[in-house]
Amino acid sequence: MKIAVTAMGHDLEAPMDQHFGRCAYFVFVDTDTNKIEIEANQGVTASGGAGIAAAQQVIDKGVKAIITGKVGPNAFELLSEGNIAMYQGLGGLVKEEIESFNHQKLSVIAVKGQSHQGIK
Amino acid sequence: MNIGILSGKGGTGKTTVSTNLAAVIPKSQYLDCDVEEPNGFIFLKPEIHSEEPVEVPVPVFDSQQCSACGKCVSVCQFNALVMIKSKIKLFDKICKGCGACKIVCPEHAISETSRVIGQVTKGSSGEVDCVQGLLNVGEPIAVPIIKQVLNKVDETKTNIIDCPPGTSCTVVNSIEVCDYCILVTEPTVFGLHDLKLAFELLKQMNIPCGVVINKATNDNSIIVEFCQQESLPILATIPFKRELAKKYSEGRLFKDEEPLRHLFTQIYSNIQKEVKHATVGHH
Repeated sequence: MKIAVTAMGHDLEAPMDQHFGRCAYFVFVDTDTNKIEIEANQGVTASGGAGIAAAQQVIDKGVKAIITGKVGPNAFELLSEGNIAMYQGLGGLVKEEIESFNHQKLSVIAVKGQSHQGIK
Repeated sequence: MNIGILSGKGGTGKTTVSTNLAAVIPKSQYLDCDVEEPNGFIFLKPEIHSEEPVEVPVPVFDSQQCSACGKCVSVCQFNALVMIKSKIKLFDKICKGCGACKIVCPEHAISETSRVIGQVTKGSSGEVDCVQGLLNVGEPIAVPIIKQVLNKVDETKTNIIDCPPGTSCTVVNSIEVCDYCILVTEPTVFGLHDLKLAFELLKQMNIPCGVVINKATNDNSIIVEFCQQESLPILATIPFKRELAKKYSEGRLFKDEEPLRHLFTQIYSNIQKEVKHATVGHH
């Protein structure tokens, strides 16, 4: 199945990005084939609705799960509606988070975060 | 004449100056454009004559007609639309009512309705006409309310426009109609910092202005020096006094006693002189 990890850089060695809506990149992984695709997050430059744009991007990619830190209320609603599971990353590098996921070490994000946490 | 009262920094005394000015100027109308937290009516205590809702347009999606092409989602500049499982979902609070989705839909599946985001209230307090805008709690977009408040500007009166704090789009929309602006400030580092931002805005918008130093102490040089550098007239200085703060906390206007009444009538006659000066020649 396809999963997505929020990333601060354009590769597997980058740290996981703690914010869903305004993460720099999405690392898409097909856990069956190990195929990797990396895309810039469409939400990062949005003046508003960043979480919505980011959620649309992962929905369009057909992912079944995401790994990240915090998910704001709009994205949380959309990902839930899209039956996309949200997993709490451990704060390591992207490749480490994927490993943890494959070994069922990650817990589910049960609660939506506060809005606008990605704005610095 | 339309006089805008702004400050940059919150809490400097915009409402104190606006409500008292409106109370002493003949044939005046007070308009509260700080629609997220209007407070002028606390002091003016007007008799209310009317309340009207403020509505903004929102799209309605006919799922029978929709072919899930996603063109509406792509065209939305504000990320207010999402497509999940071939269904369109709208985040109405983010929608700016631009109508682009309706235009691009190839199936004509989008129609328009409206929703209420706040209200405008009109009344009068003695001789003073009063208008207030109020944005509903939870709504993020204030400008449509401000626009509806400013629709009530009366050309036959002196309109006193009490602006929101800051210098962003809510303030820009509030002062666009102004002939002259009063910058209310206080003699502190924060006061000066935000005064500079607000003055910069007025320069960009080409609106003549003057300063009122509120909560003034023995040494207001931090503001006075800036005004001298920028050739900004100081219209009045209101002293920092416990009794004024007490009156304010009781929701009372200052205009019923001298010398405060005189202070506000002075502000008005200074503005009239400044405006006359500006139309006759340049400083």
